[in-house]
Amino acid sequence: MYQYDQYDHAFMANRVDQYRGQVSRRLAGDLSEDQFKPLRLMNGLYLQLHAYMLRVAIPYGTLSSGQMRKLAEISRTYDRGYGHFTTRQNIQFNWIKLEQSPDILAELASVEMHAIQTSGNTIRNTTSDPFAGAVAGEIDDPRVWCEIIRQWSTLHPEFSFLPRKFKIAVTGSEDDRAAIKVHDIGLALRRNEAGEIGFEVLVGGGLGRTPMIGKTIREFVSQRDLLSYLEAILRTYNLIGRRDNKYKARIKIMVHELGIDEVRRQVDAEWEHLRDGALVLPEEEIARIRAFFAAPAFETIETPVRSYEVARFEDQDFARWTKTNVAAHRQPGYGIAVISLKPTGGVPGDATAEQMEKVAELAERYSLGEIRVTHTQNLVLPHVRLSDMHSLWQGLSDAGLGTANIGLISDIIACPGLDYCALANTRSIPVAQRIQQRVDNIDRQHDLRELSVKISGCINACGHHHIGNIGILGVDRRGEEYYQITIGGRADENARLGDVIGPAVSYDEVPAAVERLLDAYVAERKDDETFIGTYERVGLKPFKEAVYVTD
Amino acid sequence: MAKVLTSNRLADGAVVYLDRQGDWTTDVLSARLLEGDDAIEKAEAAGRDAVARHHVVEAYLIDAELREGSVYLTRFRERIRAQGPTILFGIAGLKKKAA
Repeated sequence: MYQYDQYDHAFMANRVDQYRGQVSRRLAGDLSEDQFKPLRLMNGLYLQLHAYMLRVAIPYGTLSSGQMRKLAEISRTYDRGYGHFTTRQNIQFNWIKLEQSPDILAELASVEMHAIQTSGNTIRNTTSDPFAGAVAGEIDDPRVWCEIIRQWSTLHPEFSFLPRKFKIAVTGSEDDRAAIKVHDIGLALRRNEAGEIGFEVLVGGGLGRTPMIGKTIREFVSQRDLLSYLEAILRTYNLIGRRDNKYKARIKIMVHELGIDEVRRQVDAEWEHLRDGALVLPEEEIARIRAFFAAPAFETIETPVRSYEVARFEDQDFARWTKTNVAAHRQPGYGIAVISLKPTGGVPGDATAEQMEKVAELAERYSLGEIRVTHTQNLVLPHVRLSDMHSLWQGLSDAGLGTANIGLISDIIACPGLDYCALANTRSIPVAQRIQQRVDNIDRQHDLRELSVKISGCINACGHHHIGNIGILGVDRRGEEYYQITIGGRADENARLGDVIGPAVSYDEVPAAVERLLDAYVAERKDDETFIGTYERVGLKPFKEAVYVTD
Repeated sequence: MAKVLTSNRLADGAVVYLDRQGDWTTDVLSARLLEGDDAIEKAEAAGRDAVARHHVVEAYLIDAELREGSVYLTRFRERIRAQGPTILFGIAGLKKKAA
């Protein structure tokens, strides 16, 4: 993991002091809310429906056990004993007091964390593959590049007041687990014909009220040129992106209105001034950052691991968990363990202080002290010996963290919705819970195979509903909660926006409508087809007919 | 329609309502139901004063009515804001799942 140096530490201490002064001036009445609001937002503090909410960045989803323990401590000391992992690899605390918020930032700084640029029209936390550095077949470790981007983009003076917020995601694998096609900039590590590693750059993706799939602006940008090219895109956007209308201010609208060819022409013109300047990435600097992410000293383990196979044979529940929650590791004898934060009836993405501490402890014991946060609101222990996997699963199960449902229908993404969010129109969490309860039988869930359900409580789409195999969007219809259902969306390397199936249904009708979609899928599927596979083969009609039956 | 004046307390963000004594309460049932232009104008002045004194963040009116003798907020959003999340959370949510 990246470690702060003396400059980072000094900067963070200074930043906390500044914020403490700003808060005390606000409480004393020397700053009005209008003056103070942008200052608190720059430090991740929102005023939500019930209280202040603090959004803490988890850079590219990477946490140490020590950091996780600190998050648990913060939740217990300053909040109500739990935290919410978000769809952008951050964590939110929902019941924060303004007067205590400087102390929280000081606590975070003590473990090299902060809440800078988790709000505002800035470059937000760069997100990445939660399996980075662990998964087989990776072209390069995306964390190296995320950290370089983080250093470039943090408090970048030119990009602190962009037309709108700006999100970057990086994947190092062909299988995209970072949803790069729905980010303002998506970076995919690629190897060119000469065998050099660089980046395919996509631009103009995004969800929200105008969802768009990102377009390739450049097939290959070398490592040396990464920052100058990003700077050229951001500068072009900063100059010509719209500031007259908040809803048309994201770069996706600029790309849509100008066309990718014209955007490319303008970015290239800008890049000409920049590419051989101060932003050229020296090889020694790349090597310095890369060293922080060097592979741990894995043991040489003979495979197959007999104790693992025996445990799977003897313990059906464990076997089921390994089927969905364990991914292949690049190192023989190891596995990547995904910890579900989606037990039936729970709040997707929530973890109590005790659970966070348990994960920290298990990561220390079994995963070299490393934890990842996924954009699907789960946690990952990236480096677990297969011989330890059964003990890990038992430890997780004791803490209510052993649910075997990663990628299945109950692994639902849901935004906080109207239960917490000041922007929401409808609730999301209880909708997720009701769907989970409807399909609670785990054998049935496995039978339904891979199937993503994503729920947003408003058009801002924090629940990524556009890219769910089943997407659910809450809309306010004369004060009543209604939900528009889309199907056919997907978030992976073949990202696609879902299609609306028909009129919105009421809060009470959602679980039955989903059930009918499932019935239609099971009736139509062939062989080992997944829900999305069936949809792509047969189209909307049978699903639509199933939901809007009139009997 | 009758109104209630609401805000968030500056120091801790708590949801508060102007009550019958002109103080700010976290208990919506103690909120003052404002009927008529005069009552609303006076409440808004109290809100501006509380903002100026840095006690609350920003005060605004919400729709309300009297139901069975109690203040009832007519908008769903405001009822959730008054009562807290409709779902169990934190350790309570965990206990419910275990039950």
